[in-house]
Amino acid sequence: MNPTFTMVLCAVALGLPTVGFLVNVLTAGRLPRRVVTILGPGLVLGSFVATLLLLVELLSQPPAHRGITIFFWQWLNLSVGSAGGAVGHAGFNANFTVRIDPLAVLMMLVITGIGGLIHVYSVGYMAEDPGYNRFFAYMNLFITSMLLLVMSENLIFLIIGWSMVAFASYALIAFWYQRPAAVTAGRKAFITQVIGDVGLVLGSFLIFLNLRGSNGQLLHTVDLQTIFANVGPGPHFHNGLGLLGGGMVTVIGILLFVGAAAKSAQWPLHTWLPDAMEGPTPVSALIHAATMVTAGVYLIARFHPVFQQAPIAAGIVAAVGIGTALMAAIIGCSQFDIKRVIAYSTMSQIGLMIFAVGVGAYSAGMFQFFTHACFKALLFLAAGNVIHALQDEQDIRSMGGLSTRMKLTFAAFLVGSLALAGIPLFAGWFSKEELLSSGLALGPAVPWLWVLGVAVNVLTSFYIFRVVWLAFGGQPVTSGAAAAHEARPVMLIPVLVLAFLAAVVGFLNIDFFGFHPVTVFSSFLQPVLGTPAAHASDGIQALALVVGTLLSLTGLALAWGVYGRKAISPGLISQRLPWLYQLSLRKFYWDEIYTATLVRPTLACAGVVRRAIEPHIFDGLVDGVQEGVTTLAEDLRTMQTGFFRDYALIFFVCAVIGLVVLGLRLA
Amino acid sequence: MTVIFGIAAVLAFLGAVGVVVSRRTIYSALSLVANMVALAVLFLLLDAQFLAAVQIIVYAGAVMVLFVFIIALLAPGAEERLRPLELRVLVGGIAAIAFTAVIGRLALNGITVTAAGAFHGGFGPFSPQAVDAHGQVQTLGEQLFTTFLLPFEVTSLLLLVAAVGAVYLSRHRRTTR
Amino acid sequence: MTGLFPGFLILSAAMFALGALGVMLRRNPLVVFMSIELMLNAGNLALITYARYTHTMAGQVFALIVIAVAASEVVVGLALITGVYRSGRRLDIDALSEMRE
Repeated sequence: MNPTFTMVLCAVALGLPTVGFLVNVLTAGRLPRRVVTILGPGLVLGSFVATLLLLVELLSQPPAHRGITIFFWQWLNLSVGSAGGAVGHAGFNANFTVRIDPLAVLMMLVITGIGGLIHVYSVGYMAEDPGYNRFFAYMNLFITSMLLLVMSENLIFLIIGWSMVAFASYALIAFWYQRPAAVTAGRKAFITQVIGDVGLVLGSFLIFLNLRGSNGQLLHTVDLQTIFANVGPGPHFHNGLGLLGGGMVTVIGILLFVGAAAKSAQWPLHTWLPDAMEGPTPVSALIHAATMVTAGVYLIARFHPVFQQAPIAAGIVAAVGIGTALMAAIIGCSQFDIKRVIAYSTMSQIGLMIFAVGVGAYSAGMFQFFTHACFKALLFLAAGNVIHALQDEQDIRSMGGLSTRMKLTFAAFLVGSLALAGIPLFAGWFSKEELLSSGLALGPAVPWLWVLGVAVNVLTSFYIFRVVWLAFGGQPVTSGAAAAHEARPVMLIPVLVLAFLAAVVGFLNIDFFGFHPVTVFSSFLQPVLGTPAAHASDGIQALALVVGTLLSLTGLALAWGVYGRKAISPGLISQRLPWLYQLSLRKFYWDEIYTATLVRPTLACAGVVRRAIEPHIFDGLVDGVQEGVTTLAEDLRTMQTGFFRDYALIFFVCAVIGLVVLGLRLA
Repeated sequence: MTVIFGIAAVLAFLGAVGVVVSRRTIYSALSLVANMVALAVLFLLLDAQFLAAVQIIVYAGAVMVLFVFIIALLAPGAEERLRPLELRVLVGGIAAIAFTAVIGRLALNGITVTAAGAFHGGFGPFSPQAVDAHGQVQTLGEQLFTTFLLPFEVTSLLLLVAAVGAVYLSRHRRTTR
Repeated sequence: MTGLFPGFLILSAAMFALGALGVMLRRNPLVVFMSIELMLNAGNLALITYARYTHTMAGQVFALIVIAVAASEVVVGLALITGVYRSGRRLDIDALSEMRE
């Protein structure tokens, strides 16, 4: 690969959205709308073109050589006494270094490609919004941050990108800042992200302090390739802690997972995702379907050498992933806001991805990420069409009959639902079944995680087709629904493009038991992610495939039964198993738990500080200084009597004092 | 010698006290005159004959006469109410006593009394001529017109300025009344 | 006369201190002036004492000039006080103070 050309492409890919953000900000949002309309999406699509060229570059190499590290510029070089202080390697070097390999390019394609489509969609969705310019500025910033995160070879810049993403997400969630709910949601998202940041940063610190090279000396490096090259089997991590059986590596793995969990909205840091639906729908599509929430999956996949050395941490990752997937799927069955259903669906699907990278099926997890980006963004944008057409109505109980009024959107939404539910031949089926079967093969000997995973299949089909029937089927419930009409082209075309992708991309990787005719995807990622270690026998895998597919179809049938044919009452669960219904409706009470255990005590402490400590101690200190000075000044002022005699007295007394001191020294 | 010193010193001291303490202004002036006369005696004891004369003629004879005239003109029977128990009296008194004590201690310890004359204008130590000539008019005049010519001239200028100033300050200003 | 040297200095110091007290404690400007004269005289005494005991003439010359200066100062000062009296103000240092802020 030509390094110079690659360098230019990287600069273009990362630089275009940055330029967009800067131009928008520096003109104080006063650019004319037409300019922003062209600039906002245009720059991202330009970035996508650059990324495609990078892909071509990459593919022009034989698989073993698909990876290049490009050093851009030395920002901070504090390497002390390390191996010659060579730039980009040992020592604390915060250098802007970029790594272009299949994993990075995959992420970049999704970010810029689907991101670009969403930008185009936003031109229509946000057309009447007064904050139009601000929206595109933040969206460009988000794309920049995400690109920085995935392109970065240097741990410091990865963390920088990570944090910038958190900020951009806050800015976009709280976009309609006059709404208190939106601001609260933005804050919640940001605070949760910061907790995750702590995990990531602490993990990075531990890596920096403890990684040893092959000859045992401490490396003190923040360069990812160097880190991964030296994390092999053997005592390469200083086994300082001795806890949890795996020592330092396990701790690092858990800390990194804390960061990933916050970004990917996994338990226990999941509470921000549903609230984040306060943001505009394109934001939900971009951030909460295609990119930000997948940053956690990316992190674990990227750091897989570390997790391979820490089976306990990886096990925790897998368990948390499956647990969250199941919990979110249960909650999604009872929600009435269309965006919330899709949000919980995201949480659930990400949980499956986390499960995949937890058991070691990295390629399968990334494939699921890829297909999920397509169909989840599709679902969000189609839902956005519906919301827009119904004058911002989001409750599915107030919809109905849209299949005839918004034909194309309905078709797209249906394709997305089929993909999500894992119905055969749609994208989700391929990725999800590959994922689950890998989970069966690579997971613990007793496949209880797999069992939970296929249970999720049922619920997934059920909740999404519930939405399909309630929102699109039957007759319109309200006059608003009756008056709905199809969306404008600028909002419709991205949706249709995504629908096409959702139908088609599954065929990039067909990998079940002995039958894997198409492995484009996994072989593309193989140089980075390797091949999964074990495989179950073909028979078991075939059985798993059948079971998984059947369960997805069961869910679909259930939804049809309850909402399509109305043969089964929707209130069945709520009457027979009220506790289950309540758990689902109340989101397993996690918000309430956190409020009681974390939020209230913090607010109480803050209240104490505000009422008692601050007025008396801090204000007292500051005011006290002021009062002291004022009093002193007023007292000193009385010395200025204006009387000549007083001044003469003072002169004389001071002269005498001086004389006495002098005299005592001389005598 | 010591007796004369003793009497003169006591008189000078009492005169000084009288200046500060007297209720009536004219009594203060007269105390000051007494002080100056005693001082002239002390100057004689110190071999400063010319200066003793000058002290009497100029200081006691001219300056104090001027003072007395002004007192007579302005406030002949002026009495001031003294308030002895103010804070400033206490502080001032302590300072004054401290001052005197320090100087006394230093003097009694014999600081900086060098027999050799460090200044120019000295004859040299202890020759009989030197001892005799010290304080004579010729000696003083010689120094005044040679070594200390510049201060002498400047002082004469100062006296001129003072005279002009006094005339100017005391003229009647009919226009401003 | 070496034995009397401290006595002269102590007397000079005492006169100076008394003069300072007069300046600080009395309100009549004329008395204040006279106290200043007292202080000048004290200084003269010290000067002449030292002249005697170092056998130099500088002290006496300086004392002569001090007398001349004191005379001129008295002249001008009394003219000022006369002016104050004529403009109707009270002869009280405290009342004449315009330095109060």
